[in-house]
Amino acid sequence: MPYQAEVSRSNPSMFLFLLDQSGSMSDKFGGGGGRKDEKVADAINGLLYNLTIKCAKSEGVRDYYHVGVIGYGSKVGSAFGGTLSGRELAPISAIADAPESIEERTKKVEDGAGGLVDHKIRFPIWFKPVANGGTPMCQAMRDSQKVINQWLSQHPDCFPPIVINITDGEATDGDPLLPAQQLRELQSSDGQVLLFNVHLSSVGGAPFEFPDSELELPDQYAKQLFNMSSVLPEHIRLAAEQEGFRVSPNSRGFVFNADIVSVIRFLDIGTRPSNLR
Amino acid sequence: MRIAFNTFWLQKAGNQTEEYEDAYAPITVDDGDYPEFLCAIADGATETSFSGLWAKILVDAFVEKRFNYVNQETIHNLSHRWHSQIAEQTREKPLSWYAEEKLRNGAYASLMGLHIKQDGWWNAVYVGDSCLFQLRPPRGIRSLPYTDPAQFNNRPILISTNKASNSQVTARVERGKWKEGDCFLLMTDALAHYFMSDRRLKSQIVPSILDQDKFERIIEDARQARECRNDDVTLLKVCIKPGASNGGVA
Repeated sequence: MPYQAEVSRSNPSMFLFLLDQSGSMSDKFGGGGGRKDEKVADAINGLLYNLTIKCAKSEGVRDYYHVGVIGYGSKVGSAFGGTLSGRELAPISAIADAPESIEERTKKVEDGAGGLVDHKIRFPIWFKPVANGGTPMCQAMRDSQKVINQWLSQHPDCFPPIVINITDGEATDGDPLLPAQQLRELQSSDGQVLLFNVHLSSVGGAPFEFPDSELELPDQYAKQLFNMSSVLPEHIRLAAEQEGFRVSPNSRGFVFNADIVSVIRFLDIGTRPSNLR
Repeated sequence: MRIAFNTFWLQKAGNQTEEYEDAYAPITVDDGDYPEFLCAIADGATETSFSGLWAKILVDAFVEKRFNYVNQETIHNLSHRWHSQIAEQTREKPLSWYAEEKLRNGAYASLMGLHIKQDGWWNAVYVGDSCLFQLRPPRGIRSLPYTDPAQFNNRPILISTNKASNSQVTARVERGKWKEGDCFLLMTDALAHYFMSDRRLKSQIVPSILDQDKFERIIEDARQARECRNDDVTLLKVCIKPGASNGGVA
């Protein structure tokens, strides 16, 4: 059975995030509220925040995951800045300690009496909005293959790498279906690489989370990204179901104008209380 | 009651001893006559910080009879102790953003507490997926809270130091009768799942000759064979020897 490998410090897994930083990302987001490049920055900062929290323990952050971030726009390459600048991959503990800045934000939390209260939290910022140039998504997929191949040669038995591509969907360097398929075909002894796509579209309408068919998706780009995405492995699907998502055995790792941070909660590194907020 | 009591534990493979996040109480007990006997195990959740400390606070409170029922007031009082011990540990050093957020989320743990009384009854108080098995050799006669290994999952509802997360927590209380010769086995989830899935384990851990070295070998072999999930494991074994001063009758 694939996707059974334990994720541990001695057998870590990896995440690769692909960020669309093309000029079209300065357009308005169809779901309302700001530009698409701002949504991309929010999404990647939220993903890294949640992944760090997941791996944090009393003594610090445990390196269950190594993480790479590839930006694609006017150029394709590592999007890390600061002390991580130029690195293809970094352990999650190094990322946790190297945000560009830390903002104070307000988060609504349950008060235990059925209400919500505002709570101030420190929110790290690793990435700021960028929108410049074309959308070389195919190149980003091919560069990802190189990074993942190298990782797999050193970690042949790891839980398969997870790639999360955040884009407005309009590749300018060809059809991304083939490089996406080649990326998904890379594998460890525990299964094939998982490719998930987040479509931040200028088209409005209802958001979609983990659909099992392209039929209701609003445009060709959404359909293409759906077809590029991996089917959710069983344990992720069951975790999603337990959290109230409507999923089926054919559900794919694709969201349209919606948040994918929930994927971090679905990862299994040990007991996660179901009443953990 | 003449009690024979043993505990065995092993941290998750690949972790350091100090990263063990289960807890049990009491730590040691002399074999002998007791008018009543209390013991408990707890399992701190991997995804939360300082959960081993929280598990230890829960089991100690149970055996010291600082609570009979798990209710909001009890948890609130115990979580104060957790907060103050962490404040003591972290006073010298400013917390990182993630340590601060992790503390705000709180710690989470299961609890299985057993109270054996001289009148022939026992009570169990439990939250989450730590298990109790009552054996009347050669058979098992009671299994709490699960009776089938398929009932385990990685997302149980656990007791939290975070008040807001405890609204869904309901402690269950069960009682039953004991008889001389009965043994009670308290196990954290990975071991309990293995125990329920593989009949061979019972014959390996019930005999009185089990020691910590043998226990570790059994678990390491089972992990290697992928029969036991790689997690902290704890076994607490209480047997009521024949010759009890007021032995219970089932």
